[in-house]
Amino acid sequence: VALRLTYGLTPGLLAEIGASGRQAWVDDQLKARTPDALVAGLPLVGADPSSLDRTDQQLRVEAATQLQQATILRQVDSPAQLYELMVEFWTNHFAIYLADGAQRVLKLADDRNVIRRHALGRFADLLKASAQSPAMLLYLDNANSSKSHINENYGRELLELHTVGVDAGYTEADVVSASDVLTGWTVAPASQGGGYHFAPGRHDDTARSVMTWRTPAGATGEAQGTALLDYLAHQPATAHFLARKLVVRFVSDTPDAGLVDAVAASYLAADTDVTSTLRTLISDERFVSSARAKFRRPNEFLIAAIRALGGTVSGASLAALPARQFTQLLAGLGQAPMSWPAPNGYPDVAPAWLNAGGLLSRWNTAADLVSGVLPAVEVDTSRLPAAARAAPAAAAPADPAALVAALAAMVLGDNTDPATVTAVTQGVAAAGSTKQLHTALALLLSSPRFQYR
Amino acid sequence: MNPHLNPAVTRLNQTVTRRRVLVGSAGLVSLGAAAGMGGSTIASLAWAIPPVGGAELPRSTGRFVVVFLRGGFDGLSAVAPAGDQHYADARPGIRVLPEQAIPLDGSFGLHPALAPLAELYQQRDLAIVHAVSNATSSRSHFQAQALVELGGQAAAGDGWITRHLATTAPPRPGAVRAVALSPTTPTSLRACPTCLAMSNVASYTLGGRSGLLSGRTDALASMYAGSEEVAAQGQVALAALAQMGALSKKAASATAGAAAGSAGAAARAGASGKASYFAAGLADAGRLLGSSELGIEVVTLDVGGWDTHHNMGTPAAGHMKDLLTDFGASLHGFWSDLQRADVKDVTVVVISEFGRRLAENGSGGLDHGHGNAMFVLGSGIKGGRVITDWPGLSPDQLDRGDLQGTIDYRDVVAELLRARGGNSAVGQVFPGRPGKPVGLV
Repeated sequence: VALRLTYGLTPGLLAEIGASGRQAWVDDQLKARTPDALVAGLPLVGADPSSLDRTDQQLRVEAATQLQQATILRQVDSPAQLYELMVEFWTNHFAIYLADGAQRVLKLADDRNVIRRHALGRFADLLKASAQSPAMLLYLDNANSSKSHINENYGRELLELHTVGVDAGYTEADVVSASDVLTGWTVAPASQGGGYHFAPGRHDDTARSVMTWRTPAGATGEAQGTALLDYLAHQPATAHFLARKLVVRFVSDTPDAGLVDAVAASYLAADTDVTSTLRTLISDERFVSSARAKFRRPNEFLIAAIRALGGTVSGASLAALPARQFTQLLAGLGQAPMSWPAPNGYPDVAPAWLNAGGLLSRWNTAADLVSGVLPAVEVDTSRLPAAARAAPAAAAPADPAALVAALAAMVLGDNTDPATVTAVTQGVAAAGSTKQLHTALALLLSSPRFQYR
Repeated sequence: MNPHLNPAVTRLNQTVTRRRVLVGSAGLVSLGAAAGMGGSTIASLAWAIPPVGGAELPRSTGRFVVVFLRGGFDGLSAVAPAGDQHYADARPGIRVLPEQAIPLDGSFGLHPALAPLAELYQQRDLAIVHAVSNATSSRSHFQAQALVELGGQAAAGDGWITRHLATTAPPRPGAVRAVALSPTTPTSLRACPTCLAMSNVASYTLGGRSGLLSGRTDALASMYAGSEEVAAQGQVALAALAQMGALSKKAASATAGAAAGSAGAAARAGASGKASYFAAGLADAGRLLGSSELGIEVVTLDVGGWDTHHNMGTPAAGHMKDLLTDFGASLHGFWSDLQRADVKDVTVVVISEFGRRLAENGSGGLDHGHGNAMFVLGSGIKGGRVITDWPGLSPDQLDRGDLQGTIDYRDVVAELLRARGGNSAVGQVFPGRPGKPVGLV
């Protein structure tokens, strides 16, 4: 459970869960939020986009880089691990490509006011906030859609990716109608703050239908779109689509249909409340009993590796880094935050990520991580197990097998197995005497076992 | 070769054999569907099936570069019916004007930014197939891309390239038959036991910046010795490392030295001196196909940015012009390098998930459409032609406002796989195909 409700074990995590008891720990995780102080070293993350010059290229790059760094830092260090997992989930669900022009600045507000504000709240609120988020309005072009010339990009993805899903049985005419209903939802000029703005002159007030929804009698203007979003958020198809996606995220690439149904029912019963929905998922026996079925995505691999070493990411040293260095590392693995170039978000099944080149990148990243050549990642050797501390890195350990066993318990927890320990021990024995500790750690992080959660 | 890696290579060959068994017994498609997305299930299922017969697969002959333009490439801008009044009326701001188009035949003209491709067209190395359909009426990127890559088999667990490799024997036994130049495995290569995805060739080395694990292949091989999917992929990674070591070094120094000596690369690099993503990918494709140590048969490349919902600009200036300029120059540079090296057996196929709407939208862009243009480059193909069964652009000839698709992309690819790839079982790659001959070869 700890492996799937966090970004990976830390040297103290299992003891922490043991001390509070599993149920109390889960309850705490469902309530916990990440303190803002964690990213105090990254000043642009808290900035209001309207105070920033969106046309300043350098500032754009800096804003996007700090947001990516803040994402990594929070995933590694936040005590609110489940919250951060859900932030990533919704960031991917309402994916906005960060490298796309003004998004580099506007995504700061989307991250804070849409994703992080509602990550464990009601989906209906999250959906409406996203529909009015300047970053989304520009990314999927709704800001440019008007009654004389609609742009159906957002209307289509609203149905296909954000709510009911592509198999819900809607038609191309529904896509057009949804786009018509949302005409006028745009952004104010930058001189007026650049925030969400409803422009009545651009709105098509004609009554429409989308699937079984009809424009409510008497509803005009913005209220039509609000009603449509509320309808979509409460659709059984949306419940099922979101439930399946959550089960794929937290349990298995091939989700159990009964579990999906149970989670979907909970979502509808709780008026789209995400915390209640998650509680149903986490407490289900099928969740509890399905450990290690998920292949870690590259981002999860990196964060889990840092956490396994007892490492932290320093906000101050991140801020002092030349732009891009750290996120380039993630890009090399194939998963920099908010950088999937399409609105469907990063794939979440093993066949997309489990490939030879990807494994090689992980082995190299593990080597660099334990060698201390990654910028801003600090590994605290005082948190290593006693067997490792007792064997200084400079000298060959008296008993390589004992060293590896102790490190395996730290890195892999109860996910370790004798074959991995034997292979790593052989590798350690063949390594130069000054590199045995580092070699052991790098091989453990490179092992097949570590690639699963 | 590093003796430690021999077991890995042996296992790879076993994996290939397992794959053949799959083909020989029940056909890939139904088994792939049964196995769903779980790679390990596929492997275990394969083991469970008793071997049949000793039927030899035909050897694959020609090699392929498959370029996927992600996002819905606007074929009506690239290969424009510039003189058509319906086209002109529907696109007041963004159309290619008759006087801007580079004439190809009586009906179609190339976007002026694609001038480098006109040269290949004149040489008859380039053929264009227009009004191509993509096996689905869906206007969803993700449905359409998946279906194109699965060869129209929505329930298939493997991609069409995977099935091409499974129905041919490698010309030379090697660990890796196909490379995707991408950090993620494209759907067209799903469930392929002899395929490799990598971001680029230069970074395909073991050790990272620290070099810590560079001598630890034995330990890795022993950790990845199992039969489950993760282990099989680890074995491919190690075997490919042994084979690609020299090539990676060469690529790294070429990238560092801006590919000195290659006129094509210099042209592609353009004014900035830095190769575009597409040009760099094609340069890697050239390295992989040009290596005498490797037996790579297929390279795939993904090029994004084609989802042009807004501000496409005009053929004289703007976003679409920039996209096509890079596309044309990169492809031309790659082809020139191949010709200089006298490589004749490579066919380039350029495809996208769908075309875009005929009529311009409210943002100077185009929403999702249907029928589209495809490019095929190859020495000895029947090039210098726009092959089409043109459906017309009048309102009653459109498919929900979009160009109809009248030639199925699977028939195009099937013809190439059969005539230039030595595949005599294209019906297993694209069940129910091929349809009527396209006439490319």
